[in-house]
Amino acid sequence: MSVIARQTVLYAIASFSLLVGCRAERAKPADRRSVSSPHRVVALAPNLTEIVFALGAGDSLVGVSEYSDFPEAARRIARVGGLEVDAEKVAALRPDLVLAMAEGTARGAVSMLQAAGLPVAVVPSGSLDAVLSGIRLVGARLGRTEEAERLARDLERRRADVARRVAGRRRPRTLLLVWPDPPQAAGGGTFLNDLLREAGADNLVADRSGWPVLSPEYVATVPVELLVIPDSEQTREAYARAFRSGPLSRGPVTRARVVRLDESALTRPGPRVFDVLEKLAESLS
Amino acid sequence: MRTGAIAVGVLLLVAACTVAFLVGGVHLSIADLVAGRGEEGQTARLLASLRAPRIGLAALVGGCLALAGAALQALLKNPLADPFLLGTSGGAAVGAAGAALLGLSPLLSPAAAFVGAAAASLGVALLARRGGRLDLQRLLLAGLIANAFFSALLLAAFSIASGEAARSMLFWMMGSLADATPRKVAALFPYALAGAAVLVAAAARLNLFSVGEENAAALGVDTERTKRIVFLASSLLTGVAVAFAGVIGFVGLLVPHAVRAAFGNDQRTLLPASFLVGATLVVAADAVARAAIAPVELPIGALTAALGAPVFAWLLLRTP
Repeated sequence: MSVIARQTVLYAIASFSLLVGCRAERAKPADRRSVSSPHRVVALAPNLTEIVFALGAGDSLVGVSEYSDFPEAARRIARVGGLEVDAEKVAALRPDLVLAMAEGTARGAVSMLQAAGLPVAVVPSGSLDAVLSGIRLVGARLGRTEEAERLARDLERRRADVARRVAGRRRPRTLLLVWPDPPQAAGGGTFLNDLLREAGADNLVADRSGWPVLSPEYVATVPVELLVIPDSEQTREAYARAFRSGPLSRGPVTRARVVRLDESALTRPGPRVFDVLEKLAESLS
Repeated sequence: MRTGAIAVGVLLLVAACTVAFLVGGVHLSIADLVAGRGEEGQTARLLASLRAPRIGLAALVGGCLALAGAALQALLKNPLADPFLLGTSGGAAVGAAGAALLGLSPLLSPAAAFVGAAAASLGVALLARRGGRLDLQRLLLAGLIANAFFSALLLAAFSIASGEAARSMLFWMMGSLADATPRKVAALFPYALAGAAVLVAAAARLNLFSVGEENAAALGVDTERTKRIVFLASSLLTGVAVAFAGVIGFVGLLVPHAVRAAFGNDQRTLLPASFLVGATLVVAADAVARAAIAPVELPIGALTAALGAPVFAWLLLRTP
């Protein structure tokens, strides 16, 4: 039982980090082989779907991951699995480019696809810098280097504006909880830790890497001033319960300011995370 | 001997509870708790209100599991019997998880866990029967098979469950005391008391089992009835422990051995002392789980398994 339980736990953690948008290593240097622009693209994570659409190549997508619901047009594309990617389904779509995240449960399927000789681009996401280099990498592989450069520059400019605006402000002690019970936070080495820092917040668990599940005692006593939480139909009830009678119902956290941000924009390391950066910085001013 | 053993057990438990109350990821100041005003006092009282029910739940769960293990070992005359190894805990977890998956009220989860635990014990006992007797090797094999089957069921349930339900599956697989409340402690208490009372009352009859079933019968023990009662009571204890805290393995194996080594094999001493020492062990393990890598908690089931598996290996080497 215990071996299987352990595997299950690893699986769950991996699934969850994929859900919240994948922690990833730094970018591998972009593969600069010249490819004639692909027209059968499969995106194995919702943020990758968003990047392809943002680069104006949404038409080339023939398969996307289960949770790809943005933009609206993505909903009509064939699904190739959620947390577990169906490698055969992907192969059956005869893609000329597969976009995958650097970490997460899709890894097994990704190495199968690579071994089968399909062109796979592995996109990083563990920081805001990685999101930008991911956009450039996807652009290069889609033959849309200029569009990607333009998008990345624009996002960089908006990021720099935010940095100027928040400079010198007092930084509220903050927790960003990606799930309320048990409370799971964005820790160091994640793109959401960058988001908090650059929006002018002080992440209380920046010294814990990844997505730490926090103890009820810690959450009840930590002197948190700002609570950032994802907001969506699926999460609302769970947070409401946590505020009513769960881990968020006692101690200083009950007096913290709560900022709710659209879940799909907040938890996916795609272009919209910079919208969230502006919004969070705005609401802290 | 008997009062001595129980006094030692009580002392150990009180010491463990005191230490567990004082340690954790966040420092609890007794001065603030008693006389603190303002924010310090509030924080201390808040911590106390979180820690006290958790310690209470840990103690009851540990006591139930150790007592169930001790009774099963006596009944099966098998030092390796344990509700975790024999699949009883797994059956309880499947029962509780199934109830959650079907959307039944959490109030029914102890009942569902009890049904799962009883079905598992019964199934394993039937599989292990050979010529009307429980065969030692077959028993362990049957437990192994049951555990593999229940793990498969839990994994399947885990992969079809979503969000909230998936999280509760993980809870039952790994064991956790993190959401202890006074109400849960109060709900567990009558079950623990009833199960413990039945087993302790059967202790004298269980003593006679050690000289063999035929001899016990010759001495006037209704062996079949005793077997049924002990099986049901230990299933009840295991079931409710799992329903309230998930699967915390090896407690039922470790504790009776330690107690037997210290105080001998008289069930009238062994059973109540096992309850107390089991409570002590889980209270202490939970304190470690809370404090070791705070603010993150270790899963307590992993902690007891890490402790229990080497002891199991050692017992296996010693068993002729």
